[in-house]
Amino acid sequence: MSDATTTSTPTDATPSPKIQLLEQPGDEAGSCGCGSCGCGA
Amino acid sequence: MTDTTSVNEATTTADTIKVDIWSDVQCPWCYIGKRKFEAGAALYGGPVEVEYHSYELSPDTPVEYAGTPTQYLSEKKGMPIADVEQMLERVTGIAESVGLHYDYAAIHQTNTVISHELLHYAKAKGRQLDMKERLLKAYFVEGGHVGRIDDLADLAAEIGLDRPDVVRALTEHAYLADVKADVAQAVEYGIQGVPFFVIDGKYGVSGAQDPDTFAQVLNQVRTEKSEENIA
Repeated sequence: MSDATTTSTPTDATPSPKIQLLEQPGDEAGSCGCGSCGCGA
Repeated sequence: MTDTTSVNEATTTADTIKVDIWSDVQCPWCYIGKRKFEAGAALYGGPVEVEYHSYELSPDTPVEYAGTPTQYLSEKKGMPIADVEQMLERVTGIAESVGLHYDYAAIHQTNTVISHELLHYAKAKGRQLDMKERLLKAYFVEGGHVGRIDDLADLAAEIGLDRPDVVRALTEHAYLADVKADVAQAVEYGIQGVPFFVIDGKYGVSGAQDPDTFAQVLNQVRTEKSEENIA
C-alpha cells in the first residue's frame, strides 16, 4: 500500500497578462455581474 | 487563422488598434456598450480591429428555462419581483437612449454557451461582428431563442453562413474549447463583469462607458503608438 502524496509544480505556467484598468462602470455605464442589472449573474 | 473584424477599415495597418471585448449574449449592458463603443470608435475615426470573446454570466441556466426573465432574476438574485421589474425598466430605458428597443416580455432566458460556440464559428469564417449583432438583436429585441441549435442555425443562415455546416459544428461542439479558453483568459485578466474592453492589449475599460470615453482611450493609445514609432 502506498500512502504517499505527491505535489507538483506547474512547469508550463505562463505569467498572467497585465492590463491597466482605466475605467470602471458607474450608474449610467453599467456592467453585468455587478448585481444591478438584468443579466442574471 | 486571424479572424478579427475591423470596425473602421477593412484592412489592418500598423496604426490599427486592437480591441478585445469580453461579452455575453444575454448581457443587456453588452449590447448598450456595443453601441456606445461603436459611436466612440466613429468619433476616434482611426482604424480599429474588434474581436469578441466569450463570457458566461450564468452558465448554470438550463437551455429550456420555463419562466420569464423577471422570475429568473428574482430567484437568482433573491430580489422581490417589483424590484426586478424596476431594474429592467431602468436598463430598458438606457437601451432606448442608444436606439435599442429591448422587449423583456418576449425574452427567452437560456444558457448561452452554444451561442458563444456559434460566435467562434463565425469568427473562423470572418463574420463575427455580424453574428454578434444578430444574436444580440434576436435575444433582446425579437424574443429569439439563442440556446437551441436550430434557432441559432437559422440566425447564422440569415447572415449568409452555411446552415448545415453550422448545425454540424454546434452539434459536435467544435468550438467549445475556444469558449472555455476565452472564459479562462477573462479570469486571468481579473474580469468580473461585462462588457469589458481590452485596448491594445494593455488598457482595460469596464462597462458600457460613454462614446467620449472610448474615443479618449483610443486617442491615448494612438498617441502612445506614435511615440513608440518615433523612439
